Amino acid sequence: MRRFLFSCAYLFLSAAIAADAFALPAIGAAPPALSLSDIQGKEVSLAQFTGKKAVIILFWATWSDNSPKALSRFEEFSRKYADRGFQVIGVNADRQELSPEDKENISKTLQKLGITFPILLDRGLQAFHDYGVIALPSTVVIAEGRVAYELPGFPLVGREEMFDYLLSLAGEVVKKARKEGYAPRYDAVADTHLARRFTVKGAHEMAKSLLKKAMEKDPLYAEPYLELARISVKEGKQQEAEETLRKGLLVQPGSRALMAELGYLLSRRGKVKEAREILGKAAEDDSYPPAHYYYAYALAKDGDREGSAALFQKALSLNPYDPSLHILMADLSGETGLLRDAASFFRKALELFLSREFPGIPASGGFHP
Amino acid sequence: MKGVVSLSLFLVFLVTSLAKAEGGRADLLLRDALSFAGKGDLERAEAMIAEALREKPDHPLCHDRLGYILLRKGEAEAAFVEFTKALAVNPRLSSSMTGIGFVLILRGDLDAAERVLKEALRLNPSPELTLYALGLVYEKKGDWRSAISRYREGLRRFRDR
Repeated sequence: MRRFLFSCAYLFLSAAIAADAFALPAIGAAPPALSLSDIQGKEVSLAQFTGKKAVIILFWATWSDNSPKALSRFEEFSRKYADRGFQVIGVNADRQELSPEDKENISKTLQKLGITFPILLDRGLQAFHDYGVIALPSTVVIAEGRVAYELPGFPLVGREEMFDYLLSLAGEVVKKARKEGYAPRYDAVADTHLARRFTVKGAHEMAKSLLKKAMEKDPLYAEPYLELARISVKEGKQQEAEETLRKGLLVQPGSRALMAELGYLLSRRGKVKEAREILGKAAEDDSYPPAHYYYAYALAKDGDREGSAALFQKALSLNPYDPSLHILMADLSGETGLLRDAASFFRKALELFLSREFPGIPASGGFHP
Repeated sequence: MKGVVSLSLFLVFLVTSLAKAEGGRADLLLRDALSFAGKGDLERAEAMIAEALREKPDHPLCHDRLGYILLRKGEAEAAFVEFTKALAVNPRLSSSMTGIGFVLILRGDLDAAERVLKEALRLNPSPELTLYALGLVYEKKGDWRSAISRYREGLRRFRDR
């Protein structure tokens, strides 16, 4: 019975992971509306910065290790470049509901770091979800009314490339020539987004046709490969998904997302050795946080419980609001007979989904066993 | 005679329109209240729903949502009253049954919570929150398998949307 229960969990998990991990924000798309209160209660919206050369939105949290570094670095940037049309906005995503103590903690952090740019409080984590944030801190740069640059996490190399991009946007000559950033064709992005909607509605053939068009329009764009693989997983065609992801890696060999998804698929298919190798590479930086928990999963499957636990911890520190992470931990707990832990992880995952529609309800005190 | 009929029809129209306007304003207030609740401003949300209920005292959804706001504020017994009022107007409002289920969990009456949540589950076609509450009941009872099964079902429903 137990084996049956968890083989069902496993099947469910397969699709759930793919569905969530593929939901990445798109470069070139119009940014979602943003209107939140600042720490003094004053409403601030993205629309009021129309006309700025660039608006930089930094999602951060007091509990995240790299957030103070990111805040300080952007404070320095803001002081220097605000008069050249650069607006930095910090969006705090500490938790779903902020207590007075949380607010005090946020204020103290800002005071300590000397932050002067606006800090908005993302109560209900609405903006966090709207922007598809997958790690904290995360940076979204909006220029000419479009999402121009994104950086999940604050990885060493990635952050320097981002600041080089911002400096070049400010008209500065950057010491090291920035690698020309790849931006996908807008129509390929639009086709992929539409395909995703069809997938959700179960219209897989329509979605596949759109994705193939997107691949033709922009052969270097990785997202259609990810989405196509996701459909194959949904249809139970794992071999097909694997082939699609491998094809994607031929055109975008550096894509952490493609590497991570392929690695995860391989580990699920029992090809743990190859999975470990690919996932190790995908998890070299924080730019695709699911890579950490996929790697953790592969390590656990390979018997390395300690390494696995450390990686799960790392993934949690980047984005504790990712339901897929909790589902994966639930699955592993279940497989090892830790039913109590499995129930608790599944609960947490469901709470994260519910909190988007019923903010605050599941998190209310007193319910948890 | 014709004049009397016209006047009666006019009065019926007037009363209906006023009732609709009342409901309409209450609905608008409720919508705005939910938006504030979503941003965590529970005090403002509560005040707006209270105003909506002054406009339309038998608005079941207003009572229901007020119940959830009170639940979030930790006022479980006051929430129970609101859920009960909502169910008095609409006995098939599964959301309020789920709300009562949450209150019963907080009271520690797990068997009663299980019964009411199962009934809510029977009535509601998209019961993620109810499945969550039922999972809590089983988890608290130490029945991990049933808890896992309910949570997984809730997660599956999100995935299938």
